[in-house]
Amino acid sequence: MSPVVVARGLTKSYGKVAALRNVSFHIPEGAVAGLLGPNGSGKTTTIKILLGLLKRDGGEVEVFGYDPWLEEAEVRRRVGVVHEKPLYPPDEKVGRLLRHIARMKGAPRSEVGRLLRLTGLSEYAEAKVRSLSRGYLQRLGIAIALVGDPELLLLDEPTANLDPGARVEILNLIKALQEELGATVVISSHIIPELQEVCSYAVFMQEGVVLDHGGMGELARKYGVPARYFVTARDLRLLASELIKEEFAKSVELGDGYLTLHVEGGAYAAAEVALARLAERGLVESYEIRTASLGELYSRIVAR
Amino acid sequence: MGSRGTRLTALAVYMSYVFNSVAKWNLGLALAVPLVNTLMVVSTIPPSLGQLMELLVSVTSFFYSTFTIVAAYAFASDLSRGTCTVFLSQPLTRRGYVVTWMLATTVVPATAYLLSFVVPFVVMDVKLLASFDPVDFLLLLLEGISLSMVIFLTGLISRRPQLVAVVGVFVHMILFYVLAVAYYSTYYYNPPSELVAFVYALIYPFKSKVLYPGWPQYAGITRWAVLANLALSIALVTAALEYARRIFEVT
Repeated sequence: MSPVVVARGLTKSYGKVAALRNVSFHIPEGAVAGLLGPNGSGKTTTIKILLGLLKRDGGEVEVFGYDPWLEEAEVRRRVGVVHEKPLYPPDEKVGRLLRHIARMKGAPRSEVGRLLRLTGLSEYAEAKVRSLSRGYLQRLGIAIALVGDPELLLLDEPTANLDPGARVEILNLIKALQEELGATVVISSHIIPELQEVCSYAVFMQEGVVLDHGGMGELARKYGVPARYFVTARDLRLLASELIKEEFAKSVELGDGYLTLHVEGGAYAAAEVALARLAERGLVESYEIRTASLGELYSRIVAR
Repeated sequence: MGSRGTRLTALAVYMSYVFNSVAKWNLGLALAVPLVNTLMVVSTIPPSLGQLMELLVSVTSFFYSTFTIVAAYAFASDLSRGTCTVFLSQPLTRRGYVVTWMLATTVVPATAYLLSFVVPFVVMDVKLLASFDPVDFLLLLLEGISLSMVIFLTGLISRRPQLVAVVGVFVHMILFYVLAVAYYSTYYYNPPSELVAFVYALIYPFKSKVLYPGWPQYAGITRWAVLANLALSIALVTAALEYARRIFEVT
């Protein structure tokens, strides 16, 4: 798939402090990419450069083939964003603010109602922004980001400052939205485990440098971390009984119409040979690495 | 909708948003001040056109200065608090954002300023407008725009509302009186210094003409000062637009 975002040798400084140093990565279309790294690693700066809000000092960046600094409106027309510390006009009503944003993006008025329902804000449409709790402000941010059905969503620490319940809710919402819209999503976070269920791609950053990036399967193979295969088959129970006998299989879970195979790091070759063999026998329809252990990847790449 | 269409729509919607929500009170004052002026003029009836103008200038200038400062303060607050990020994350260009606020803090108040002079004359006797030099209207607009642009640029570059307030009070009130004192202190014994006359007319082309007509031999100096003010206004607007295009970042 063609990349939606391409950064090559990106640099950015705030005075004497280097925020990004020769940052290069790309994000393929349709991916849910985690931009992962500790605080101060340059995630927010990267997102703001991708949106054309900050000017890079050097290097190149393209979003949908456009330079975000020079062709900002074209990029923002196709992108939705949730900022890390969003500040919305406090005296504005939730519904009115969304209507303004919808008009700015040329979206139909009916979309406002749909987004209010989708993000659970319907009953707050007439409430002033200042009266919303943090969790609901985050929902408002997501509603604003979704106006105009963006092709790319940039979510900067979307669960920051939320209680655990609200975090799970927001992450589930993001997951459902990605499945519904099929948009490319970039989520920055320093809380690694929470992105485990949503990421199919990862960019690891530290102190303004991209340490590594790639699809979960690619990174899992490279660093030999435990991974999960998503397998579909006609007879899942029969397949499960076959797989569980194998040495590489750490565990097998049956889902609704699929099977999840947990494989130890370093056992991919054996697992894939076995899955290919089972596919030849007609027991497996399809398989792919769904996700690798982000925590393990993080500790091998960032915390080493 | 094409990209150009979206860009223009975004700009139009944001302008209406700023004008409706942030500058609403500003437009309210734009209607209220002419009304106050009209009542004042009708109730006092000064003996001459010159005195009438002096009265209007002193009252209206105060309201005008106040609301240009407050509008620029709101702009700098939008930048310093970061509420601008919400709208600048939409298909609104940085230039569009700056132009919107420039209009809200300069052109709208300057037009209101102009109206607050015209309306009382229209109410009293529309024929009086004919005795009013059209150049004065231009000077009035020029003065309003150049002073507001100084305050606006301070807000755009510093993003500090308090600094905007200080600069606003300084250019609209303190500097005006400092120059007035300098003008009169030299004028008392001799014709005012050419430099003071030039600086005064450069910064306050309208007030210097109406309140302190000056000496006939300074007509040339005043003309140059007005041209310099025009050049300054154009330079300030260009600087703001270029700053928005090349440097302005949303942090």
